[in-house]
Amino acid sequence: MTSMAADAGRIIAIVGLLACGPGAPRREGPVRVERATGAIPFEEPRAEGWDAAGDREIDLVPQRTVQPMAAEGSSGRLRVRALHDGQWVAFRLEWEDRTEDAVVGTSRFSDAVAIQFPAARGQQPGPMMGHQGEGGRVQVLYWRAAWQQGDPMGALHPNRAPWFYPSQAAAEGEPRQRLERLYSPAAEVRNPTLQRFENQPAFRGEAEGFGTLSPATEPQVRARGEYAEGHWYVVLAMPIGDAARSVLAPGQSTQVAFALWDGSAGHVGARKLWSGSWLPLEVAAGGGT
Amino acid sequence: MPRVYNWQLGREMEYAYEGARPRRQFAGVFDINKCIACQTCTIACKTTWTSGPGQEYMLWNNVETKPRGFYPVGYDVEILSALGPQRWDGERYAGRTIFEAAPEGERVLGWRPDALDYANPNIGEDEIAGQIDRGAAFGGEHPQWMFYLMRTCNHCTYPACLASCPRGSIYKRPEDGIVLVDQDRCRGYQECVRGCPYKKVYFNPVTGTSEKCIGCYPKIEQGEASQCFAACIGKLRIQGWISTPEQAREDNPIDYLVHVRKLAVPLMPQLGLEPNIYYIPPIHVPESYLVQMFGPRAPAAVRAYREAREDPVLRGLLVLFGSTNRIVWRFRVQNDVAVAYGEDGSELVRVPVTEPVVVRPAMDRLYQIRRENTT
Ligand code: SF4
Ligand code: SF4
Repeated sequence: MTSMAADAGRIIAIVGLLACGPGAPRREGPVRVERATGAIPFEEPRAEGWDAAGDREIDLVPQRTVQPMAAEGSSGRLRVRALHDGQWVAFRLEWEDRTEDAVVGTSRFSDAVAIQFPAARGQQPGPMMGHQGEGGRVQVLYWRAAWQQGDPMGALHPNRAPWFYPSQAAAEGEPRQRLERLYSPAAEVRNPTLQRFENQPAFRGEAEGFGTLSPATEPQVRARGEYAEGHWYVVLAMPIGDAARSVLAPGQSTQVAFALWDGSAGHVGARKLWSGSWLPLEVAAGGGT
Repeated sequence: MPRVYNWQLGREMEYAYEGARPRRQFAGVFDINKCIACQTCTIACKTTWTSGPGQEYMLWNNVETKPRGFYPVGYDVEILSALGPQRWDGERYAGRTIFEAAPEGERVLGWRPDALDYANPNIGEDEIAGQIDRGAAFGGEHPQWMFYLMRTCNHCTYPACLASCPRGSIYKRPEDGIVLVDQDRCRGYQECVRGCPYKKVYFNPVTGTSEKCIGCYPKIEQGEASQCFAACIGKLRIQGWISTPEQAREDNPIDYLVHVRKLAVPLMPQLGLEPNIYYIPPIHVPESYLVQMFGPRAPAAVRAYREAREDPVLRGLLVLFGSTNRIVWRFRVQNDVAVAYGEDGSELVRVPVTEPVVVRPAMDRLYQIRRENTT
């Protein structure tokens, strides 16, 4: 064998390993939430600790059921790994995205991802935001890249000219804050997307049909996204809560669905990619630490 | 899709929701011919409502030079080209509205502006429609033209912003027809920004929500005129309530101008929103442009305006423009005096239709000063 042929053989072997070796994600079967053996790396979406988790690849298609729809022709693929430690369930989602969209502006949209489960055990809500199911609500964990941005105007217009706001003329403290609130009605009425739990870049909501997503009664959520080499790696986690009632309690089986937004493709709101129907989700047994 | 009646089109049309007219409809008439583009209206609004972070280039009221100016850039040409050539059959619209022309998967025919489209709010200022030939001289009529167009949200009867919002975060108040974005429900999807053909909903990147003209509703609730109406230097705005044509009342100033005398016309009625800001069109602009921008009634409106000086009632009503900071519910012109009345029938203001002429002698005998004519 010539050395070139030997190289080619090696490449084929590597490609073969990638395609069906132990590193390749499963494309069938349930999404599994494994019992973590160590601490869950909540803040490190690319940590090795995630490799131990069950790995399932899910195809996503454009949402074309309700208006407004995502453009035809786009598709996506999400790699899902999940861990629990008896207290929290954490998903690590990975997908390819050639553009990092982490700011919002006029007609500029953020990359984002969401996970959906039934809100309570024994309910069969529809997979489309709970619409037309056999009843019941869905709960949604939603991460948005732009929420990791501390200074939205700076990120949007890094070279902008200094601007004077009337509030700056007021004395610091309460007088200034009062003027700031005057020109920020969404903050004044405590829009839930501006009142996120511990200022996490995520939102936990519940829905019962299209356009009904509202803050969940339990707001606790943790999230962290990292963009590297054309991929997003996002950890999205919520507490299991009351193990006697939670759909995500250890040993439970439930259902899960996913949605993905590519800001550059104009995805926002119902213009998204999604898994279309429910997928089975299994939470490994194992109590709290 | 539900069908609703749009009187500006003279026909029924498709809309996302069943028609439900408010108990009263916020409305105003702007006399384009009097505008000096001082932007006092723009600043009155901006200092009142949009002076916070994320609102830097947000002008709920703007004044642009037509035909070459716009804010945001190209808002009118974009939607008119997207819709393509359409036809009026007399005063009945034979073309398609932006609701009827919505592509599959969309509720309205819309387009998404870019942030930079808002960055030059007075682009094209004072530019005229075309070149003036070398050697051209003024021969009684200007060979080229331009005019100022003052714009706010139209608080449309069939708002495209409202129809576009998948969350139902936009609503039209039954008590006055003012269209508002619920700042608690809004999630910043910007479907309204995309859908409004007048581009009168704006995205605030700091709050992550869409914001729009609120019609100064806290003032309206007190019977006061909105900031941009009250501040107008040109005294070219009058605020009130509009009825449907069959319920028009002669003593209602808006009804009188729009329905009775047909002096004021809406902006781009063919889009199908039944906008509620009406314009007395400019009298020096080619008819084809007027019809495209203000519909088939515009040429007759220009003729009626030219003849207004012979008409004591119309003259009287025109002097009431900008004469009170309150909403005018009724008016009356008698014995060369125009009177405006409020909701409870009380008199708001009384204005002489013909101003008394005072001739001041050049020499002021009291101070022994000779006056210079500085204008
Ligand atoms: S002008 Fe635009 S923002 Fe205002 S009500 Fe009409 S569609 Fe909505
Ligand atoms: S205040 Fe009146 S005259 Fe001045 S720009 Fe506005 S509409 Fe025109």
